[in-house]
Amino acid sequence: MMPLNRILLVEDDPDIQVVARLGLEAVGGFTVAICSSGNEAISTAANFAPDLILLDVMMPGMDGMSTLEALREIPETAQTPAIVLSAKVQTHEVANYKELGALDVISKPFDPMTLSATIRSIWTRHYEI
Amino acid sequence: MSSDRQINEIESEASVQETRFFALSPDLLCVSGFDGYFKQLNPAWEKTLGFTNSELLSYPYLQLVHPQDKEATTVEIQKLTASTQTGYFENRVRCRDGSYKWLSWKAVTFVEEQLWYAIARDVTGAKTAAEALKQAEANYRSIYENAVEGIFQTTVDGHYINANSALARIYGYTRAGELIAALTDIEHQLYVDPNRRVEFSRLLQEHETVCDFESEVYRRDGSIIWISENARTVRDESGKLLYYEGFVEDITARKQAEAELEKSLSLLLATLESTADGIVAVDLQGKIVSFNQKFVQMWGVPEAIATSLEYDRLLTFQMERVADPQAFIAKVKNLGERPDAEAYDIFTLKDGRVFERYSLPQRIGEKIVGRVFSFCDITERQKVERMKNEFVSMVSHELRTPLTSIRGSLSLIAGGVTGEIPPQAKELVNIAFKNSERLVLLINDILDIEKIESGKMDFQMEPVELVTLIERAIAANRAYGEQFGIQFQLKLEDNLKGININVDSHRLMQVISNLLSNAAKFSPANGTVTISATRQQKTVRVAVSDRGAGIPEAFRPKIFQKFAQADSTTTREKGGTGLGLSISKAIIEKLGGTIGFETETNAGTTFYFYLPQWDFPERRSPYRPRILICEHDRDTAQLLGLMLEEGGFHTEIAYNAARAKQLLARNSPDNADLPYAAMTVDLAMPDQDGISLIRELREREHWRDLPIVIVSAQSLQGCQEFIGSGFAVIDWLDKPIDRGRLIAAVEKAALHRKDSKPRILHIEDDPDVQQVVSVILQDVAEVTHAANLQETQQQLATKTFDLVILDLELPDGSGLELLPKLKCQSKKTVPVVVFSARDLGKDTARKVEATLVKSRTSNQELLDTIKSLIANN
Repeated sequence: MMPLNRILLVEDDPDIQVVARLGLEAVGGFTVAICSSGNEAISTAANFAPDLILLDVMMPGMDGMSTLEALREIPETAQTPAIVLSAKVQTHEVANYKELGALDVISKPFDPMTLSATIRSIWTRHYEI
Repeated sequence: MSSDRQINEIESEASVQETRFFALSPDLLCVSGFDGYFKQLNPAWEKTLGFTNSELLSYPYLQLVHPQDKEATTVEIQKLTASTQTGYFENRVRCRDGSYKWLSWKAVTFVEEQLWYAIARDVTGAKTAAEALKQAEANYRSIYENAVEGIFQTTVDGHYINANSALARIYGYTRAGELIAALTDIEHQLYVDPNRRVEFSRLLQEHETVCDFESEVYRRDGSIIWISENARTVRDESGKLLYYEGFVEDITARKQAEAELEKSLSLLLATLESTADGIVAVDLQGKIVSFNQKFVQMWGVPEAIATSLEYDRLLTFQMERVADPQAFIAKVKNLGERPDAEAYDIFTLKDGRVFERYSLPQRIGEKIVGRVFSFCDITERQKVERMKNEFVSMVSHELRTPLTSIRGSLSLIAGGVTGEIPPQAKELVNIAFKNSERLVLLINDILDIEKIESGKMDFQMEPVELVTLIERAIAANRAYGEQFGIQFQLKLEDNLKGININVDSHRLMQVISNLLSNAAKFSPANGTVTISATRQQKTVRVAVSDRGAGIPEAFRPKIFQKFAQADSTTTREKGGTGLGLSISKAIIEKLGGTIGFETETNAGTTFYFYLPQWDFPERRSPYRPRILICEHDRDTAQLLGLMLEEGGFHTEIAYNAARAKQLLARNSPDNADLPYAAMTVDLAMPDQDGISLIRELREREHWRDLPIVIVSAQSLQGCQEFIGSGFAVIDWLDKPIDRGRLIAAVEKAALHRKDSKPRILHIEDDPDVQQVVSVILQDVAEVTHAANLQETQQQLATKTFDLVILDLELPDGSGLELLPKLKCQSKKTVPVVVFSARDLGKDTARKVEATLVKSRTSNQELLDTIKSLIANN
């Protein structure tokens, strides 16, 4: 199974950043880099070289899916699995994220106490087989 | 000559002459006795009646008289014998041949000799003529009296000379005489407008006749009716006007019908003009029958086109105005082929407006004579709807974002991530956390309700095993139940094993979770909630029972309403949004089921739902041909998928051309066990048009021969572009999609593949035997299963097979019942192999290609038999 240690979180809301960081670092034990925008993610991606990208969709400027498209152009993140973290999770929206390359979707509000476990189980489901 | 002699001679001469006179008289002369017998008769009697005189002399003369005249004759004779007056009378006297002759008698009595002398004359000819005249008159009288139309003769100055009963009836009199007596001034007594009589007279005097002269007249009781008169003048030889005569018809009913018609016509016209929709009606010959001003305004139809009433010109004009003229006209042409269809669509105009088009056939009785189109400008409505959707989506996002950090922070603090907190603070954090959870649920439920009400709740239908789903729902809610100390207990009927239901499992989980959490909340602490599932025929019933206080009687009718909770304190005590059951009901109904409850005060409540069982055993068959659906519209894609899955295919969906190519690459014959058997293509893909996609596929070796079915609203246009292009496009389907056509087309396409295997229908109710046969035949054929007669019929209705393997003992009858059907499927003989537990009789065995008995047949034997039959066919 591919190792999962480094997570790049792209999320514009600073409060959610705090909550998610605690959930991922303190509860989950991951190494986390947080970016507030698509552009910041693009400039961070190569250096950080994440194992997984955690993406908010609704962001000012470049939205989550455009960010993902841009990250695919960067060699370090061209193949990196991405999970969408969004409040917009109607059936057709979820289908759309997956079609655009998301591994899975975690809906907001998420529980930071179980966020890391959820991510691990998605990861396992996709890479264990 | 002595005078005596002279006298004697004279007397004798006279006597001779009298005798001669008597003998030669053409009149009938007789002398009759008072005793009732003739005494003497001249020869005219013999000539007239045919009897000999001696015969006549021997009869009592009254016996010769016609029975009807006998009495009158007796009276006449009595009168005659009692006086010296000459008597005149007529009667009928019998002839020898049985007929009667009319005789007119003149008779006189000679009392002294008790004799009467009479001359009778045969007046039969005159009598008959008179009778005929009388009869003819009676006939005319009958026609006159029984005519439906009133018949009249009136003087010029307005008196009735004659009127028949019908006229009396029309004018409300009991007899004609009464009418004639009562109406002496027709002009003023009869006509509502006396000028009509003046006009009537003027027309008659000018033209001699009038036709269909309609007037209102008073009846005897003062009521008013409409009459129509046809009349002529009658003049004497000198040309002097004598009177008018003619017919009267009561046309009140017709006049009323005309008035009614006019009334409804005017109402219709007013309705047509006052409606907010543009309406145009067209007949089958392509003529515009009617349209309203709104139609002219909304389309901006030039007057020349509107007044030409030519539908073709109107269509040309409409096509110039719409954004997609081909789709617009395709729909119209499609309707031309299906004149009885009710149709609805939405299209955009070049100026950006969006019109809704609705049309229905116009019928007279059963016959379709045309079509009425109504157009509604829904530009505003769509805008508002879009804004509302955006609003709901936005609000939900905007609410969830702050909630994410509130709930997340509370969860982290409560979870001890930030370190130990004082017990009092912990309790408060828990309260805040619980309520933030409630807020999340409320937002989810409100979104669901909004989706249900706008009809936009998506359902991803798939067959799922009922028991597994229930177990998952219980597992998901176990922790919730434990909060209340509640145990969930599952009670299953044995016959539920392997039973599937076709549902959106996420949504059904939502319903079961809702019922479980309600039951847990309303149960006494540390109680048990029972989940039971039963099956009745083709329906499954899932019930969730608690042993709580029951639902208060007054609240029962409102239980499925929105924001319904027994009282407001419940919300506070038990939590919940009051939307759960309303959502559950909507979901169950969308899934084709029903929901209900039973409750007893202080004993508990059971909520239950029924769903149809899903049984297409061929779903479990490993050999479902794989079909790639390439379709940009999600709803259509889902629909196609559902239809094809039901038709026995395995489907995968690509919403754009890029994804389609990706899937095709992943499933190329080189690296997949089961390449796609066929592909459906929508011509209007977002990233690449369907035609260029097909061209691209044709250039790659792997996909050159992949059969393609085009499913597109633009297929008419597509057809024209494609025909003759040489691509292996198998079929074209119009939207909206017809299920039967789709399956037939994909079927044909899948068979078109060079490497396609022969298709075998295995009719067998035992799943284990199904499985074994599938495995044995997996390399040589594609096996579809049917578990009973009914399923077999369904399969045969939609597919063709190359061979049938038949079990005889099926749950709903004998497999032998199928033989006649199998033998004539698609006009070719399908070989049938009976594979059953018992031997067949000789006669039956002759009707099938092979008979194999289960216990005595090895796998190799079965395979060899099938192979050889396939090879021979």
